[in-house]
Amino acid sequence: MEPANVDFVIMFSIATAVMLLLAFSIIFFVVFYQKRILSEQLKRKLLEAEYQQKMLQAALESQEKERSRLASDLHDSVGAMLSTIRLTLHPVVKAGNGQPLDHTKQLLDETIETVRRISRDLLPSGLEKFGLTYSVQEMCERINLSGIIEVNFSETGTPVAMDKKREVLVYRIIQEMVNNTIRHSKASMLKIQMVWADTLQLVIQDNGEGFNFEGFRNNTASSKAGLGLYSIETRVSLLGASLGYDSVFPKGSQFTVKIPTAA
Amino acid sequence: MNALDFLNLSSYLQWLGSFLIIVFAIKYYPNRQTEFIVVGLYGLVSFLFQLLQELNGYKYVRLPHGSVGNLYVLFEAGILLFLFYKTISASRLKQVVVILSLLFLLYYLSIIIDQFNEMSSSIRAGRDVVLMLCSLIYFFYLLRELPSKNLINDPMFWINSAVLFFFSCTFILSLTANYILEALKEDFYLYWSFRNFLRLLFCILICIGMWQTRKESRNLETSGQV
Repeated sequence: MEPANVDFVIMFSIATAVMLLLAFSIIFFVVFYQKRILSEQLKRKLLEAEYQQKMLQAALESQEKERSRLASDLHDSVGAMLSTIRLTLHPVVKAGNGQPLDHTKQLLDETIETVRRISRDLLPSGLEKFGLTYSVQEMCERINLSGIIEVNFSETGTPVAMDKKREVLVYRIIQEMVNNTIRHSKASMLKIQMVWADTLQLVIQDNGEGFNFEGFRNNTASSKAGLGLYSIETRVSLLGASLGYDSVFPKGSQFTVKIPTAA
Repeated sequence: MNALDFLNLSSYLQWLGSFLIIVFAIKYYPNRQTEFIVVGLYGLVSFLFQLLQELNGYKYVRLPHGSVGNLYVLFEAGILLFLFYKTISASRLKQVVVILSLLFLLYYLSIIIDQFNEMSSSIRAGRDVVLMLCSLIYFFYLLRELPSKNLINDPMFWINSAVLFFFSCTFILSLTANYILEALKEDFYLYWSFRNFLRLLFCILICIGMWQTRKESRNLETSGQV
């Protein structure tokens, strides 16, 4: 091969190799840049989700503290004052025979009972002392006594002691679901099941009108039950739990919540 | 095996590559109709031009040899530029592709008037530059849009990479084709064989890109949409 040809071949090879190298560099840069950006976006989303979770937790804790304060004030201040008024009124009622005083005493009794009930609803005192199962049982008994709806409670498996904050969240979920059933479903019967295994499975079933759960999820249903279910979903997500819904034959609904017992 | 045999072998292989593009485009076009129809058309045009070259070589058709190649350059550039125009959805970048296409057309017409029957390095180099630029524009568009899926599974990523790879590797050859033909006549077959093997690789990369959509068609079948 002539020297000029050899020079040309060398220059051609080098130039082609450089072009090839440039092309591959660009292709690899695009692939790795995309991967890096996507992983950064994912990290940012995880941080945002973590932050939102913390904000929700803080909001709920603050709510519980406020409820606890209100419950204490109601019980200790208002409740105590009403009891004192009742005691003061008792001799007067006993001495006299006037119906208005009897009526007043009756109203006072009802007020005292209402204050106690509100205080109990705000802060279930049994939860801290006796645990979740006791508090739920006690709630069911109270509702049964009120005659608004028949509540059946059952528990299977061995209860696992959970962190107190988690127990409060679970209690509030059950409370909110029961309140929703009483207010919106027109049900006559409510079943609450707690199944303890690797997870705590809550099954809350009623024989009411049913519920457009998917509509709520897609924001197309009416907002009557909206806020209550939203707070349930918030607490479920804080627990790291899952919420499922099924309609029951012939009529009614069933909510299933699977809650990890460890934090 | 002498240089001419090598050239013939490489020529038939890159012809096979064009045929493979047609087959893959027919098989996978339901997944990406517009893009794969254009790619299939490119394969078909390449296949037919190669056939015309062969018939011309065997004297079944008597056309000036350079004219077939020069016409092919226009068709190849036109179809690939249309593919870029169709796949880029950003209007500004679409306008850039249109401007580049028009510039190339003007450049082509200005050169070809005097050189239609002879192989032209200028228009080949021009085509390579325009297609490399469009490929870079498409990568820029990808980085801006940043699809969430893995780029390796995107057919257009493969097709675009094939365009950048092939036309950058053959750019120096396109630029010096006339010089090689005149000054290094006996070596021209080897250089052109090198180009043909690169073209075969180009076709294979395009087919790999179209093959990536097999997962999409499987997902569509399992979800009952097909």
